[in-house]
Amino acid sequence: MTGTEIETTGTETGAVFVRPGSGGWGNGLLLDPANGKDVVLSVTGGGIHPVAARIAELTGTTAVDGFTTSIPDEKVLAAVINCGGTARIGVYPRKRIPTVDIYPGGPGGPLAEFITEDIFVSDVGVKQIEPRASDGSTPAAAPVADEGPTAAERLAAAKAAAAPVGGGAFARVSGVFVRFGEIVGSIVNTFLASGRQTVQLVLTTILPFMAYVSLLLGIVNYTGVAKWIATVLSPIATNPVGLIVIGIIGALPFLSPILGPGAAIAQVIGTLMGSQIAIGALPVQYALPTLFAINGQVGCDFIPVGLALGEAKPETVAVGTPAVLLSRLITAPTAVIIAYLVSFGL
Amino acid sequence: MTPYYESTILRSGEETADLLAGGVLILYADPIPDALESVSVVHSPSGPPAAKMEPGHVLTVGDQQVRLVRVGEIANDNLASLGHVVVYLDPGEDAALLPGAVHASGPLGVPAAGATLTLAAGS
Repeated sequence: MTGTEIETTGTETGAVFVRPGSGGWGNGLLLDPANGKDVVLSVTGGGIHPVAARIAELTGTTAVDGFTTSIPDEKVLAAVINCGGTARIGVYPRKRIPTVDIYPGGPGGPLAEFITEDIFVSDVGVKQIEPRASDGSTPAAAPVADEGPTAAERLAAAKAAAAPVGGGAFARVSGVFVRFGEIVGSIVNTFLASGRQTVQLVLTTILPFMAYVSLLLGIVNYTGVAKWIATVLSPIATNPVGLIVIGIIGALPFLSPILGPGAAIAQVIGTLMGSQIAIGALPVQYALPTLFAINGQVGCDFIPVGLALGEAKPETVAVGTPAVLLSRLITAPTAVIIAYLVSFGL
Repeated sequence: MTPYYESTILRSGEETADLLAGGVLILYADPIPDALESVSVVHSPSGPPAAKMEPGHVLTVGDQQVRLVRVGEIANDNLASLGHVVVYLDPGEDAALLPGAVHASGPLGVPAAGATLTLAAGS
């Protein structure tokens, strides 16, 4: 903090980000003085704490002593506490008032359940408070007009405490190391997170899906229903309209999920058509439309899992699965027709 | 022993009974923020503490007494600045001592308004 900044213009308000200190708890809080939240409550005893004064200074709000002044909750931007771990640490998070603890406390005491990362941060000193101006600039350090002399003294104390210690060459060298450490940390974190997500996905989605497909495959194979349908359909495969019908039947929403696994239709009719084309009984133009006709059901057993892999919500899966199944009923015969039309040149 | 801290109970918040049933007594000197009213027993000390709380000292509330077992590192600061002490009653041998807390042995009921609160060195 240099002296020049104090004289910069304006009383515009800006958000601040409050980081946890080295021994602190939480991810940090973004304090935005919007919606009439114009008071920083200092619930520390002994007047206004420098941390409360600093938050008020950077956000253009007023710091008041919570022990002597009563403020409606909806006007409170944040409560600054110096709690030893039981009472204040819990009552303000319980009221969903962002709570900044001077001491390095974490969830504990009878109100521990209310102390969550989105509402609480601890081990906060003046250095942990950073401006987050909407225009990206450092907001002016302008004390608001209605602060009393006591608050002004506190502001001076806050500024003194905010002054950087050391500096010069050491700061530059350590800055390089810090930046290098941050980069390494972020790479390691990314790899770790992706690995964790992969294992999670395999365990919660892919393995259950494999078990489910195995079951379905067993049922389909054991009952022979797909093979039976394929055998019934194979005589009509030898003319274009028959191929469209096969495409439609394969894509019927109640058949496609059980025709998908095992690919009996593709095997039976594909082999039949292939051999017919090979011996010259059918023109080669039939190859492409047949390919689309016998594959209308492909993946229909996989839709819920595919949606789950895309991290879809259960509601999305419930709506998305029939949507895809029904759309197959339209796309499958259309694909056969298009394949037939483009096969004329072959 | 002569008490080194004397105070009068003013009021008890509506949640203090539940907290005491869970073994926690939260004391604050008047005045306190509204947010703390419901969980706190509010008292009016006659003066600042003349000594520091230490294990073995006796906390008397009305006609009930508990003996302090452990004293957190900022508990004495809290008492001096805010009249604030959090008393954990019989928390168990291995319970963590929060910095602002004191651990004590013995039960306490919800204190009545007007009751006397004292801290004294053990006899």
